[in-house]
Amino acid sequence: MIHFRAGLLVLFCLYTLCSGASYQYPIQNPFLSTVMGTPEHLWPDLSGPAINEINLKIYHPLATGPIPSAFSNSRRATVRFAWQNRPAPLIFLVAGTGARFNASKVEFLKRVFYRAGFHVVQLSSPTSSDFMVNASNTHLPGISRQDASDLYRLMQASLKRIEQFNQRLVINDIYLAGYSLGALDAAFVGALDDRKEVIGFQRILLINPPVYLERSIQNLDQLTRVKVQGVDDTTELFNRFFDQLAEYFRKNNHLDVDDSLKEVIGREVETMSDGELALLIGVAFRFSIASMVFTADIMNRTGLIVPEGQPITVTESRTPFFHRSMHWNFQQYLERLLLPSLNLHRRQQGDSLLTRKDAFLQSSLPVLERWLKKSKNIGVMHNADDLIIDQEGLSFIYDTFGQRAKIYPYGGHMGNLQFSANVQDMVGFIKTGQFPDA
Amino acid sequence: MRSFFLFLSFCVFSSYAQDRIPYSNPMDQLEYYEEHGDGARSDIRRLAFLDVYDPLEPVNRLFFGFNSGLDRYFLKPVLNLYRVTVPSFIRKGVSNFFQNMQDVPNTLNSLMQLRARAALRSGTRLVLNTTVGILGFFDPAEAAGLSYQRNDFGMTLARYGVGAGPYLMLPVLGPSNVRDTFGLTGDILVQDTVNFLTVPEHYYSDPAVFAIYGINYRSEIQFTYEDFESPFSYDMIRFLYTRKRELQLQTVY
Repeated sequence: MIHFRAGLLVLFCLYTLCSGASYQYPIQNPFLSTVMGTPEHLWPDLSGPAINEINLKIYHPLATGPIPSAFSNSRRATVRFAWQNRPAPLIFLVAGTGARFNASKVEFLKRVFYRAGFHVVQLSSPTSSDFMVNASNTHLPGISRQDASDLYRLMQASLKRIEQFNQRLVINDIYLAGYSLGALDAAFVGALDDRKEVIGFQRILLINPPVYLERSIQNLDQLTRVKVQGVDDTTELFNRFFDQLAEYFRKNNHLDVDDSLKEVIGREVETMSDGELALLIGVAFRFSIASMVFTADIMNRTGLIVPEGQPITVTESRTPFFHRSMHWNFQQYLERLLLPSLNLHRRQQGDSLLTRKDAFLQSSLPVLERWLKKSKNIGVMHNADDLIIDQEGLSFIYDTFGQRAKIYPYGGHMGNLQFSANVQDMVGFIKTGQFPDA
Repeated sequence: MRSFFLFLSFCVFSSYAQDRIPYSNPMDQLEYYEEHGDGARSDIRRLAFLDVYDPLEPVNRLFFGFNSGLDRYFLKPVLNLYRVTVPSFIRKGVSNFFQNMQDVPNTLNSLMQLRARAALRSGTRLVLNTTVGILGFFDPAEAAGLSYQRNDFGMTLARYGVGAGPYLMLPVLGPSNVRDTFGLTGDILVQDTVNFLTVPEHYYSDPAVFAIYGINYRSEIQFTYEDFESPFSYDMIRFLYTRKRELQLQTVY
């Protein structure tokens, strides 16, 4: 009996050793990982010959109405296209909140999939200013179902444009991936394509999507109200933050928001508390919202930011409107700008009016639950400490995706995107339809 | 036997637990001010730090538009070509060479600011790099622990109490202010007068030298107007430039 027990003990130890799946991403603090990303020496090797790429303007107009003079320098929807010199599959990449197709995370994913042998098309987020002006039907982003139909039109237009650009190019299959809000968009695009059957995605990968959008938004908004020890005055704190940003600028003469934030904090790691990091995330998000609010206001002439009748030209000061827009959070945008303007359109067309609840419902994964369950070609990667979801959201992912979900114990929000193990998993899923060690 | 069943149920349980990593809520680790009521804080209410004295804003915005167009359609493509066609050690050499030339005004300005150590550093760098570093193409001074430190006439003016004046967006050259534009002119005149190694006289007269000078100048600045892809890029860049300059000036006060 004693031997039997000892044997069990050994088995038990072995089992614990094996099951303690070793995930080597080094940053376990969710705020730090979100801001800092992955240290560069842990990135996969993405070197290789120069990438053939070009920014393609879509000449066929996707948006209705004239473009206001405030946005006169971006008159056409633009996508970035990288092509292989041989027949290859093509993947669409959708950017996260407020990000344009050339944001550093999209660029990173481009390199990943280009090196894996794909043609790559990079798309701006429907919440970015250039997409709102040139590619959106309503110029009012935020409701995923509607954003997805805008994206879907842009994808079809890009495919046509690519054909014009290079008639000899051979595309084998079409894939889709998105991160953060772009992942939510990708899911809705996938569901739409399933009904319309125009593109036919071979596989779709969602990287850190919001599950219940309302939860994500509430959390991000809440971060701007975080208590930071020793600092009572928000202005002082922002000053400190911008000092560091400016200090980075001084050293590098470089202004990429993603990168500079990362560098600023990378250097000041010991001096930043969780509260300060959280506040940075909240403010960066607010900055995206401000750009979105301003653009939506001008495109729909609501008069909420820019008074009605006041023309905004390229030379006009926007500083007062910048201030005003920074005071808006996403929920205010939804209730005061998006829904009233959208319902105005809907009333004219005789459609039923949308409520706040509807808006959030149509922007959350559970509304697609049945489709997600049966669609074996959709996978998701997420982190168990990502601040844009909650326990309910994580359980939803486990229940709905099963083996097609890969959850990492940490990584924050997108912090482990560049980590080599994650990159291996994302390429693995897109190529084979399952995560390598699942 | 009972322990065997215990073990079995443990395995089942733990494999379930392993499949399902529980959510650890980062939001719980922080404390928040209330949204409304007495405990509420002003949120992002006062953004005074974004205001910069900019009476010439319409003209500046016009040049901002011009510069971003120039950057996108001319300078960036030229730079890409430069990076692809010229090997990095040559680019490094060119960059070192012009940086060495810059140590002439750096030294003079440090002297004018009565900062002996900074002047000594720049002066020594100049001598060392021009001789051992073969006319400045190499930077042995850096290896000797004398790293490059920028100094300019704008900083000298600031040290003697000249305020920044209105913000300026210079065509081609980018963000500046009235004082620093004066400073820039001063530095160019000084370089021309000293005419170190008789190079500066060719900067603006010989198109080939001017091209290399310009390309190198732009490639040293990694900032692009597109980086803030937002309708508020002008405001962000204006603010960041001003702040960056304030920080730089702390070294001379």
